[in-house]
Amino acid sequence: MNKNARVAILIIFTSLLVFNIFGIQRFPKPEFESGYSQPETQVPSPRGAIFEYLDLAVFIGCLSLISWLVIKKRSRKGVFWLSIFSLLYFGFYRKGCICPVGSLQNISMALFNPEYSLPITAIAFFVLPLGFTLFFGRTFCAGVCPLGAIQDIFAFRPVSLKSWVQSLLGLIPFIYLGLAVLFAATGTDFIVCRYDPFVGFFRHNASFMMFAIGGILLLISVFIARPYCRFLCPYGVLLNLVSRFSKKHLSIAPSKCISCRLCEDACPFGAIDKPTGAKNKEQSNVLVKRLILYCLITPLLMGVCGWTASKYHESFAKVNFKVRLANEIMLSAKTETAQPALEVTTFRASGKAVEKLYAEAARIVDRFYIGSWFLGGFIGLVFGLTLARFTLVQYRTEYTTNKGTCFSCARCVDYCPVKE
Amino acid sequence: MDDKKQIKRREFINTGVRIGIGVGLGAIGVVLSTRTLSGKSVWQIDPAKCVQCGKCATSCVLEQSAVKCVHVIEMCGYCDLCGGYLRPETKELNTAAESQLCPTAAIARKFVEEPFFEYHIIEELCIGCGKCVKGCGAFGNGSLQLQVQHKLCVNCNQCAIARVCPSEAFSRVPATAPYLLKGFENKK
Amino acid sequence: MKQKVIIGFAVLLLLSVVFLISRDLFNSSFKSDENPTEYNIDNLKKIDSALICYKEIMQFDPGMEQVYGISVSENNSIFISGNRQVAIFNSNGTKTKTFTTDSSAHCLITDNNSIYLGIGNHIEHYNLAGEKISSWKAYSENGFITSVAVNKEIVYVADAESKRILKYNTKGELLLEIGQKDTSKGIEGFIIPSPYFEVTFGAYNDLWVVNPGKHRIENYSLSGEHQSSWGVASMQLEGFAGCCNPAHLAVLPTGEFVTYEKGLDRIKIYDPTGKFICVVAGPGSFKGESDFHCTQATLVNDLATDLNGNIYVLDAYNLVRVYAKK
Ligand code: SF4
Ligand code: SF4
Ligand code: SF4
Ligand code: SF4
Repeated sequence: MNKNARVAILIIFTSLLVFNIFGIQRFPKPEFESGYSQPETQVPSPRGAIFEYLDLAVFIGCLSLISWLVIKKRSRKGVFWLSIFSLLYFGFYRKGCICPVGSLQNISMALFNPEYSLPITAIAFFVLPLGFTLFFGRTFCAGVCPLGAIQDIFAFRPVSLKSWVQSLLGLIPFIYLGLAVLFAATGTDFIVCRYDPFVGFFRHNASFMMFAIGGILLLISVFIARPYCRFLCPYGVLLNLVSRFSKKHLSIAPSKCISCRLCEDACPFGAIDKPTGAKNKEQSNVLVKRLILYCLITPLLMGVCGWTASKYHESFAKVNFKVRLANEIMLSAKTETAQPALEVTTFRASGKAVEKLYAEAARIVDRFYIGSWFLGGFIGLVFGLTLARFTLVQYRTEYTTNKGTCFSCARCVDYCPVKE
Repeated sequence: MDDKKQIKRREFINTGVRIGIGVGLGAIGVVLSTRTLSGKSVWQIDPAKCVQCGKCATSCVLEQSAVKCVHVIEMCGYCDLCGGYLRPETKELNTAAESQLCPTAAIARKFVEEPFFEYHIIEELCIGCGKCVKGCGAFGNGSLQLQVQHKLCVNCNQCAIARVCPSEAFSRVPATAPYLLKGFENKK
Repeated sequence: MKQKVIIGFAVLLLLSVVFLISRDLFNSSFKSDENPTEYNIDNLKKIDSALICYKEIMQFDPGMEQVYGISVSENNSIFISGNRQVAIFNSNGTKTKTFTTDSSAHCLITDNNSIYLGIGNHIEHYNLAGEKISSWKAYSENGFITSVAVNKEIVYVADAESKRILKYNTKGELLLEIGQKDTSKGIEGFIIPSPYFEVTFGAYNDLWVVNPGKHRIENYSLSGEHQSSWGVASMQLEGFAGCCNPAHLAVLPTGEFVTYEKGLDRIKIYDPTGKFICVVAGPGSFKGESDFHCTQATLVNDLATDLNGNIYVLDAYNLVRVYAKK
C-alpha cells in the first residue's frame, strides 16, 4: 500500500477516535447561575474494527510475497527485508498482538468451549500460516513472524548444536504446546500470550520479568540462533509437523546438488541434513529391530507419562482462578483465624452461592484430569517418536533442508555454487 | 528401480497426509467461523462488580495502567465535601495536598459557584488505583468509575488484569459500545 | 573448547528462562501483597460501644418485595409503602391491611386518620380503608417527592427536583414555597446532590428541613421564615459524613433528632439544639453493604418515631427494626 495513502487513512481515523457518550442525568444538576455549562463525559474509542481487516490484508500480502521470494526468487535479500518490514509492522506498529502463536489458544478455547466466540481474525491468523506452510514450507517463520524476525537479527555468531542437544531441547515446545492447549481449553489462561518474550519490546513496556526473559532470549540468540522459535514456540511445533508434508519447499541447490559441502555450515539453525553413506544392509536389519522395539515402547511411554501428568492435574488446575478461589474459600472456612484473601471476601460480599462455585470448580478440575491424561499421553508419544527418529534414517545423496526445522530463511541458498 | 518405487510411495503418502491436513484446517476454519463475533471486541470493567482492589493500577501489562478513572460528570453532585476528592479525616475542605485522597493528585477541583465544585480527572496522572472510586461510591453519587481507556489499552488477547481481578469485573464487550459506565448510554 | 563453554552457557540460560516461566505459572497462591493505595474505610466505621444508647427490641419482615417509606401513627399502627402497595401493621408487626396504589410511593406520612403518599411528582391522599380521597396536582412535571410532613391542617412536601419545600392545605392547594434561592436576600436555597431531601415537624410546631448538600438541618417557622440551623460536615461521629447527609431525619417526642447517614450507615441522636448525644445503630447493624457501584446506595430507606420514643428503621433489605432506649 502506498505510504501516503496509509498516512491519510490513519489521520482520518484518528480524528474520529473520540467517542461521545451521553449521560443520563441521574438527578437534576444544580441550578448554576454563573453561566457554567456542564462538560460532557468523553471517552476515547478503541481502534476501529476496520484496522483489523487491514492487518489481515497486510498479513496475507506478506505471506504471499514471502512464499514467492523463497520458492521462486530464492532471494535471501528479499526475505531479509520483508522480515524487517514484518518486524516493524506486526511487531512495533501493531505491538505484536494478535499473532498466530497466540491464536492457537483462541482456537483451542473455542474448540472446547462452545460458548466462547472468537474474532474472525484469530481464525485467519491461525489457519493461514499453516495453509501456506502446507504448500511452501515454513515461509511464515522466514519473513512474517515478528518474533522470529527480532531473534534473526541477533544471530551474529551462531554455533551449531549437537544433534542430541537439539532433539532434547526440541521437546520443550511440545510440552509448552500441550500446556497451552490444556490451559486454553479449560478456559484458564492464555499462557503463550502471558509469556510472550518480545511483546514487551514491541510495546516498549512490560514488567521487569518479561523484559528480563526477552533480554535473555535475545542474548542467547547471538549464539544459538532463534532460540524461541526452535526451543519454545508452540506454534512452531504445528508448523514443523505440517511443513514435513509440504508440497514445495526451499531447496539449497536449484537443481542437482554437487555435494561440494559449501553449505554444510551455512545454516545457523542446524536444519541442513547431510547426505548419508551408502546403504548398509546389515545395519539396517538392526535398525528395524530397534524400530519395532520403540514402537512397543511408545504406548508404554504414553501410558506412563499420562499417568504421571494426571497425578499433577490438581496443580495444573490451581492455575485456574475459580479453582483457586474455591480452594481458598474451603480453606478459610476451616481455619477461621487468618485474614482471608481479598478474593475470598469479595466473593462472599457478592452474595453468590458457594455451592455453585464449588460445583463449577469441581467441573474444571475434572476437565483438567482428563486433559492432563491427554497432555501426558501426547508428551509420551513425542518422546517415543523422537527416540524412533534416531533409528529411522532416510538415505540421502544430497545436502537438503530438513523440511521440519528449516525456517526457509534462504541463507544457505547463497552458499550454493549451483546457480541454475 | 527399487528406489524409484520407494520415492513414489513416499510421495503418495505425503500427498495423502497433505490433503488430510488441508481438510482438517479447512474444517477448523469453517466450524469455528460459525462462532465468530460479529465485530471487534475490547476489554472493559463492569463498575458494578469492581471492588477497587488496586490491582488495576499494578497488573496491567503497560507500565502506566490502561485503566483510569472516568468522571461521569452528569451523575456528580458537585459537592464541596467530595468523598472521592478529600481524605476522610480532613477538617478543611481545600485543595491542599494533604487533604487529597488521590495518591497522585490526579483530581482537579475547580470552584464553579457557591457551593459547587467541578471535579475533573487529569488522565496523565491517574494510575487507576480506584481510591477515589471507592470514596465516591461509599460517600457520594458514584460518579467516579474505573474504566479501561481504549486510547491506551493494547487490547491484549488475554487481559492481564482480568486474570487477577478478584471480582471478575472484566469482560470483553463489543467495540461499538466500549464503555460500561453506570448511568450511561453509548452513542456514536 | 571456547565454543563448548558458549553453548553450555547459552543452553543454561535457555533452561533458566524455562524455569522462570514455569515457576511463575505454577506459583498459584493469591497474591495477597498489600495494596499500596488501599482506601480503608473500616476504621471510620468503628464506634465505641459505650456511645450506643439504644437497643433493638423487635424486628419483623413486612413481606413486601421492596420497601420505601415508613410512618407510625399515634396509636402505634405502622404504615409501610412498597412496590405499588401500602401495608398497615399493628404494633406487634402483624399485618392488618394492605391496599394497592397505581405507582410506588417513595414516602408516606399519616395524620392518624388518613395517609399522604408521595408518589413520583405528586401527593395522593388515602383514607385508612385504602380508598383514594384525592390526587394532587404536581408542582413540576419531573418532580420527585422524597418526604412529607403533616400537622392537622397543613402538609409540607419536600420536592428534591425543584429543591423546595411546598406547603399545602389538606385539600391540596399550594399555599407557599420555601427555599427558593434568592441571592439578593442571601438565601442560598437547598443543595440536593442526590435524591435525599427530608422535611419533618419538630416538637414545638416548627419545621425542620435537611439541607443535605450543606450537611445542615435548618429550622423554619410555619410561614417559611428561616430561623436557625445546625450541623457540620465531618467524618467524626459528631458531624455528618459524605456528600449528602443526613439522608433521613425524624424527631422524637422529646424534641431530639434522629438522623441516618448513608455511606457510613449510622443512626444518631442529637438534642434539640443540635448537640450530638449518642448512637442508635452503627455500621454493620444493617444487612448488606452500601455502595453506589453495587446499586445499593443506602441500607436504610426511612426512619420513623412513635409517641413512646421508639425508633423505627426501615432496612433497605425489607426489614423493619424497632429500637428503644437502653
Ligand atoms: S533456508 Fe537454509 S539456512 Fe535457512 S533455515 Fe533453511 S536450511 Fe537453514
Ligand atoms: S482489578 Fe477488578 S476489582 Fe480490582 S480495581 Fe480493577 S476492576 Fe476493580
Ligand atoms: S485516586 Fe486513583 S483512580 Fe482516582 S484519580 Fe487518583 S489515581 Fe486515579
Ligand atoms: S488488555 Fe492489556 S493493556 Fe488493556 S487493560 Fe488489560 S492488560 Fe492493560
